[in-house]
Amino acid sequence: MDLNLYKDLFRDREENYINLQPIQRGGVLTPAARKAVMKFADGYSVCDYCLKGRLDMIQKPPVQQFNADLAEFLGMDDSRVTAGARAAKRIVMDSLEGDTVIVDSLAHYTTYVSAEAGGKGVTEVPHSGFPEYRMDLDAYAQKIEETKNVAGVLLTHVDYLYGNMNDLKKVGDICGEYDVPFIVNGAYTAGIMPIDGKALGADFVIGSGHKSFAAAAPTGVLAVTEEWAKKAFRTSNVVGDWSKRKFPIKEIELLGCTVMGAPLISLMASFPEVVERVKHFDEEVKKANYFADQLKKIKGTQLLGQNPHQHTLMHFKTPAFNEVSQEHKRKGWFLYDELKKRKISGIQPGLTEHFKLNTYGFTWDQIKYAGEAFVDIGEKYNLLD
Amino acid sequence: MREIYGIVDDMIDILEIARKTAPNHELSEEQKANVKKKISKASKKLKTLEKVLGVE
Repeated sequence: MDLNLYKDLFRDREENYINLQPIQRGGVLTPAARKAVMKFADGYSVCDYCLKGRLDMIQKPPVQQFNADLAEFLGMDDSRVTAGARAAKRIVMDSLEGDTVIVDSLAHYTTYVSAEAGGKGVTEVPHSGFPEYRMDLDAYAQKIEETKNVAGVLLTHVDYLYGNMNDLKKVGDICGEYDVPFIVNGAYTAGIMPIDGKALGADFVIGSGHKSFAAAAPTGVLAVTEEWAKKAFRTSNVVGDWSKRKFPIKEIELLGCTVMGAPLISLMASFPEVVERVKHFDEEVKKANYFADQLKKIKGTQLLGQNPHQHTLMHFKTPAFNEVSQEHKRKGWFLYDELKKRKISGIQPGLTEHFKLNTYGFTWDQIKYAGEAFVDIGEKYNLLD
Repeated sequence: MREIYGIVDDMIDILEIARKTAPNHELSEEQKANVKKKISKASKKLKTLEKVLGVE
């Protein structure tokens, strides 16, 4: 084995490029988090004062208070940090009773797989297809009526494919009417924009630290109502038949303790800025739509999904770039090359027909620079309208 | 060893300015002043660190 491969691992994309990578923007660390990580990167460093034998009860650094504050921030009663939104989904699926979870048909694959892991089937609510991919939220009521032994309803607040924003309150009200547990997957929204879970009728709010809370991976958030906390955060009853050992303080679904060290501390250290930044989401959306308007100057370019967009994650169809790629010696890589020359990164290399990107967190100057870079490429290849 | 972390913190603040001005790093006057201030602070901490570690 060549151990030199692991020496001097390095990345400077955020310093030298405008990085539009669709899943990375909301997870960029705050300076406070980067500083805290330096101090808590050693394995069990947050556990210096673990006096009760459970991570979420540690008071120095203030992990216990953080769980309470995180729950309050999301308008819920209690919360835990998990190893990503997917781990939070898994806990929810294990906690629900019933056979089938009703999900939006643009849900992330981990929604489906976590349901499967929890022994549940899945029924999908359809969307309208190209070009808007609008979720038929009214169909949730019909699906609840048609489905036997519904375990719960899950709605992805903003989907990962088109960045469409769904009306949580509407589905929350439907769930309330039918008395069905309502799970909000806010992986792309919690930590980016305000969410008031209980006011929306949510029983569970799931978030992603590394997608949307300016935290290192893997971090996720599971916030619950008091009623569901008893189930989701239930403690162990197991007793060793020979040793009689037991672990009544340990939460089963969390396997006692979850995320610690650098990821947890980054989530906590970024929290004050996250609480502040959600108040400015409207400005982020303005920047996203400004950027979209620049891209639309290129012939045939279409912003898929909601238009104007309500989120910074966007999916563009760009047939003109695709036409260029047919004749270009670098084929689909021409766009990657042209963007790289202009210090733009994050568009999947090789893609020209359509691609996703995310403008979250850039300054207006950076947004304008990125928009101009695309227009400049359009001009070079005579693609402007 | 607080000096070491203090120096790192100063550099992280400069890194943030580099990130917010990527890719061309055309700093405003305020940002330039901040960078100078951080470098000055870090330099003082380096001097203290030399004393602490006996490498003056």
